Amino acid sequence: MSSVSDVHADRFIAIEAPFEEAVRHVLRLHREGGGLHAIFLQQLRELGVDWREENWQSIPLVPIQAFREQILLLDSSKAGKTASDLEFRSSGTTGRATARHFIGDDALLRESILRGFRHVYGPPDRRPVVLGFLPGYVENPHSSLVHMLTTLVEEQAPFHGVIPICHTHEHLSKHLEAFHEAQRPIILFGAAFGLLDFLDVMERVHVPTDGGRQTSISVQNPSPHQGAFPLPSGSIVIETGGMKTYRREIGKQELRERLSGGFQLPMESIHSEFGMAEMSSQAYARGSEFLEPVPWLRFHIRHIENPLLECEPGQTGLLGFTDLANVHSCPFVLTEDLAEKDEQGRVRILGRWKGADLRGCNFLVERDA
Amino acid sequence: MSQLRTIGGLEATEILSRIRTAYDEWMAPDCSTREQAIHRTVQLGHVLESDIRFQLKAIQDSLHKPSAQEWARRAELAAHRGHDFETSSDAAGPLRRSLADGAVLCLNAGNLPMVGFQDLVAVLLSGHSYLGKVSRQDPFLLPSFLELLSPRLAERIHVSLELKDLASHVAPGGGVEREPGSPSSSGSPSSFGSLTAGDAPPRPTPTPESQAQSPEREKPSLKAILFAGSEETASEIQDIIAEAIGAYVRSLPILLRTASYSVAYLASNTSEAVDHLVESIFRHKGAGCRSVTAIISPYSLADLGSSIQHSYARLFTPAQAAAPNLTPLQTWMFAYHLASNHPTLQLGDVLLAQSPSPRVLPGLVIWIQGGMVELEDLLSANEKRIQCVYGTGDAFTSSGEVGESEPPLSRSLAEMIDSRFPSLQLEQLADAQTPGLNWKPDGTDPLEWLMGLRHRNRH
Repeated sequence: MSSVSDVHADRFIAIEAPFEEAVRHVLRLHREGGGLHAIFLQQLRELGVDWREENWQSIPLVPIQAFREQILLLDSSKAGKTASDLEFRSSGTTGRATARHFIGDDALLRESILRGFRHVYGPPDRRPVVLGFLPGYVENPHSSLVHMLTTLVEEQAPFHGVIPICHTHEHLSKHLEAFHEAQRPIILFGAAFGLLDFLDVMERVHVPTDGGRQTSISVQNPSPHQGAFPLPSGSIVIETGGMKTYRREIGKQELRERLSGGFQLPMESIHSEFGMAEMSSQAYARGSEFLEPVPWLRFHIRHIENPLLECEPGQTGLLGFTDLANVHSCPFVLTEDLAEKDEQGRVRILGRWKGADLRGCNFLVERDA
Repeated sequence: MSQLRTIGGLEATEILSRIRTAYDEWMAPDCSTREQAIHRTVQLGHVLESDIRFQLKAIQDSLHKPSAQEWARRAELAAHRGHDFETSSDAAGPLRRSLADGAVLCLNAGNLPMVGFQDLVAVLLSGHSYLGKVSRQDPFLLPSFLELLSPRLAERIHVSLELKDLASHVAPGGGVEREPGSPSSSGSPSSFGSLTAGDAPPRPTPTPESQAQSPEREKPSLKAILFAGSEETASEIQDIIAEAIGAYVRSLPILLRTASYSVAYLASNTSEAVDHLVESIFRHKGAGCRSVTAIISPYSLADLGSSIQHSYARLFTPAQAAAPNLTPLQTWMFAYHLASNHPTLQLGDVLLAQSPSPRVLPGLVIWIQGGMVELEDLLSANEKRIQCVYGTGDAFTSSGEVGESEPPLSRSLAEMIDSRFPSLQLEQLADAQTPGLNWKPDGTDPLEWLMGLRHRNRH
């Protein structure tokens, strides 16, 4: 009989591993370990719902609220985890509504982060240096994003030196200028709202003079650059996270254009990363709005009124995921985000689902007009 | 002088009186047209007969409450105040002046029987003409009642299933247009006939009164639109209206209601409180924004589950109590809650489930065991979608105590709502399905809004 302690990273997150086979293995582990997902499946069967285990797309997904409501940890011996154990928390407005993701295997998580990033951007010695920018995140010790960037920074240290994550405009500006001077391309990986704020501030401290040339009025941060902050050729910007904390909400396309203009990079060099506290793996969008999951992560789009049914490509529904690196918590999850999927399995996030019409009194245009 | 800003010389209180008289007549036991309308509505299959009768009685009661009279009186006073600021000539006369107030288009959602009745009354009391798009789910009741309305009011009312039919009753482009016509082409009660061919209620013969008041007809301009929807669908609905009536409607004021459900704070476990809770959840099969979808209580669902079941069986007829299949969404959530050992209860087509951090979903009534802190959390996260917050009687006391046998509250419900959520309405749980005529959907009194519109239009 297999057990969680026997789990080896390659079993779940190998690039070449057959996904369906790994899914069946995870399902078996959860059945044997009495995981929430397995009990949930059993309850569904008793309510008359059936699905085909061999088709990963048909497997029912647990509502993401489970991470807010209970400890999801397959190995019961770890249920009494201490505060020092790795745990991710979502950024909720109240402690009560915060999701908590207990990490059962730190090594598996690390492998998932590193293999995923290498899969997209190459190994650390053959890719530009990663520069993290996460203003405000220092106050969240349970941020999965901070953990991910820290892991990447540690991995590249032997090749690029230790470049800590920037938390302030001054810190970022200093690093960017150094890379600019050296004409050394970078991967600037940061929170979307922080990057926009940075560009806004940089533009404010430059006023046009002398027929359009721009001169810095900032004594402390003089910049020789025109525009906001040009990055060296070959650089990439990876934005991540929502826009709720920015002064206004802007669409993804506008965001990408703003970053492209501000850092003076082609649109193809503006990438996005998607992850969440409840996931152990990531997806990346390179030059478009569609996110491509790493090989051991797959997306689902489920019908809003029937979360047991997968949407067709192009249809809008609720985003779900099967994340095999979540083997110790819950790998099969339905989120509260709206999204659509293309034929290649890539998804475009359309925003938070604000709720259905419930039992309310909407004027029923479709049915009544 | 005040009659100059009323319908055909009628003051608001007189208008209300006429509506009430007509409604009482319509509700008389021997009113066959009402019975026929009820029967035909039931046949459509969207609402239960018991819910229709409940709703019609609730409306009748609301018309007789002192608060309704006070509502109309306030409109009357507002009209008088408006007159004080009036600078235009009075020479136009009562009819012309009232037409200048224009018409208001109301889209009736149809999710509850006669759900747009408050809007109808508010439009008339404010001195406007009423254009009502009735729902295919509820096309018979309102027209049936309108047949009994006095002609001086009825001639200001046009209802139809089709928006485009209503377009002919307003001046194109938003102006005021004189309409060549006779009483028979006036669009007065005859316009009820536009519902469906062959299904139309009988057309009343124009009375001498209506003819005397309408020797020559004008089409009022459309001044505003009222409907329920969501921020997301509002522009779509505007497009539909614009296509049917004219592009100019895009610039008209809109009273949009977006709230979609209500919350109960159940501080009492008495059988009376449980009965009120059950009524608030299950009446109209849970439809309507006043229906309760989320409950916060110091008691757990497990504590009160059996009381709720008994109350449900007692209050609702077998037809309502029948247990239809759960929707896929409900089944999915049911399985999750069962797997999580959360208390759950299935009654009819509604699933009640208690959990620490639930998500409000269609067909699911969420139960959170807790107090004011949990209520505040829920309201903070969902304020825009919540119509009313209900409390049981004791929760309205300011002492901070809810009763000897009940857990104490840190502060009164009223105090918390007032200070933290002033846009939300706090009402008694017992009134959830029987609101006064003057209640404020989405925190806005439609009559006050319409009166303001009237004055804005003039000045």
